[in-house]
Amino acid sequence: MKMRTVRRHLSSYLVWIVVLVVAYFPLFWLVTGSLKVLGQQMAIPPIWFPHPPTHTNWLAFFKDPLSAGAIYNSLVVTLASVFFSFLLGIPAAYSLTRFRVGSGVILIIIMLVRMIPPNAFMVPLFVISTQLGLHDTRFMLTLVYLLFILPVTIWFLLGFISQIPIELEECARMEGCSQLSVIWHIILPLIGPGLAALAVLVMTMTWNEFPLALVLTSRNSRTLPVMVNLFVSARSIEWGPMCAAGIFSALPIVVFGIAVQKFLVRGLMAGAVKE
Amino acid sequence: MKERRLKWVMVLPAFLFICIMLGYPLYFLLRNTLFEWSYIRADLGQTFIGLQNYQHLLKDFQLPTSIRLTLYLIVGTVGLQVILGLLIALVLSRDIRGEGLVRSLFLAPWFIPPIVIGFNWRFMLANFGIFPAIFKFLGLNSLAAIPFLGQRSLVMPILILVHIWTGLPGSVLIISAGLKSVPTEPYEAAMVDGASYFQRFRYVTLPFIRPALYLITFLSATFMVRAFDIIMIMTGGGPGIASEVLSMYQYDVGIKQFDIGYGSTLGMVLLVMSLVISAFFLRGILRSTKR
Repeated sequence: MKMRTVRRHLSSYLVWIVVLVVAYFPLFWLVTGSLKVLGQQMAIPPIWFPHPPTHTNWLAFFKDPLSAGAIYNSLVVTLASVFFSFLLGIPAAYSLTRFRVGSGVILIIIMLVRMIPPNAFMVPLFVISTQLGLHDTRFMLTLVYLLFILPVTIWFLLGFISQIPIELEECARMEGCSQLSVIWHIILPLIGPGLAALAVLVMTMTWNEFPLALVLTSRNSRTLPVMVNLFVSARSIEWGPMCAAGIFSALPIVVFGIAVQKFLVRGLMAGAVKE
Repeated sequence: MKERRLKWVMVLPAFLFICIMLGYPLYFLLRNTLFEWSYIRADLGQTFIGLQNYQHLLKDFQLPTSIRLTLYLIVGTVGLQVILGLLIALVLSRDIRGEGLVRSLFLAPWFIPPIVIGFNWRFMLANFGIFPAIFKFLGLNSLAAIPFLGQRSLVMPILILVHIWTGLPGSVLIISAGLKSVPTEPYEAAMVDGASYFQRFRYVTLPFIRPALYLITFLSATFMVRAFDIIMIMTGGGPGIASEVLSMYQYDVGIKQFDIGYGSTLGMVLLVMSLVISAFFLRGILRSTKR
């Protein structure tokens, strides 16, 4: 009996090892690629571990004024759009769950935005941005991102808020709490973990977004994904610094994402199964 | 009284913002489909041409190819992703030590910017990349000599594999969450009644995880209609038009060739296709949760 469970577990572990190797090999190759001097990336037989590892690619990436600008733009646009989507989304979601303000129409509009592929708006948004003189500004990009993350934010918050027993709020109201301080002192702390997961989700959406950033930005407000694309479409690709750029653009989100994954699943399921 | 005003004040900013930011581009998209308008020849301005852009859709020889490629990409990716995701989630559902850690580790690809994923796979598949090197190392010289991204017949399967690599962690995550919700009693009952493993899966597990399966199908299908980043950076729609899916084609016409009118019309096609697919799956989700 015992032997059998060991064997069964062994096969599970084997599956896991295979899955993890497939998942991580490309990442491993990207990381080692950033630590090799020019030419080593293409060596045959392949060099698995560069010896000694070099930091020249990372230096080149960080010294490039283009990357500094792109990092700054990505950071500003992401933080701004997440901040405003929470600022607008939290009160809206609260009112929608607790007071059912015109909820039918609003929910339908929210679902509609979620179903619209951002690419379909590429051409009109490009023309609108040039006509308004907002092409290549972080402001325009933030506005556009807000359109796509605000519905997601509200949708998830609806699930979170409706799980909080209303009696808690009634208690606080009896003690003389105002409506806004109920949200601030009772709702927000209770949905904290969910909020963190949601923040990571919408941050991933904006930080990783490519097609709209591609058409709405150029020199001044280019974000990291657009910069990566620019490097690749250049005549000769510098693989080393490119690998560094790729890792750098992925790192913050991956770390955050893994940190909150447990809440993320719960939020996803709550948001989707609701109603 | 004050209360009543407050609840509207809380909703209105978000509501108005979404309405304006959604409404204006949507209106502009629709309007542009009725015009002949090239951004390159700005001096020519825009001419109202009624439904001619839509008539052109029917004559466009490339459109059927693009739609076919898009559907191929969606069906291939979503189908394999759900099947593989289910298999992996089933293996995972056995309680083994370190399962949580492994699952967290496995999630990483889900958060990587698609553009970086595409770049990385292009880097590995290039003729000096690691895949040809491995094949050469194994003595498979004929395999190593294949230009993976330059071969018409190979480019779509490769793109599908890369998209699966990207989306699989998410589907495993969601399906595992679904499997966790399956109670143990029906299992035990089925065991007592002598149901085989397959029967237990078919009649006990499957009904419970159906919502999760629908959800992941819906999510990945809507993501695959808009798939752009990875294709753009790996193939740019090529070689020739072998991977020119609808979103790439729309980009090429509308942005690269600055044909605002016809580009917008293709954008409409993309939009309608996306809504149809969403509606189809949404109906499934609603049905499966009602039961």
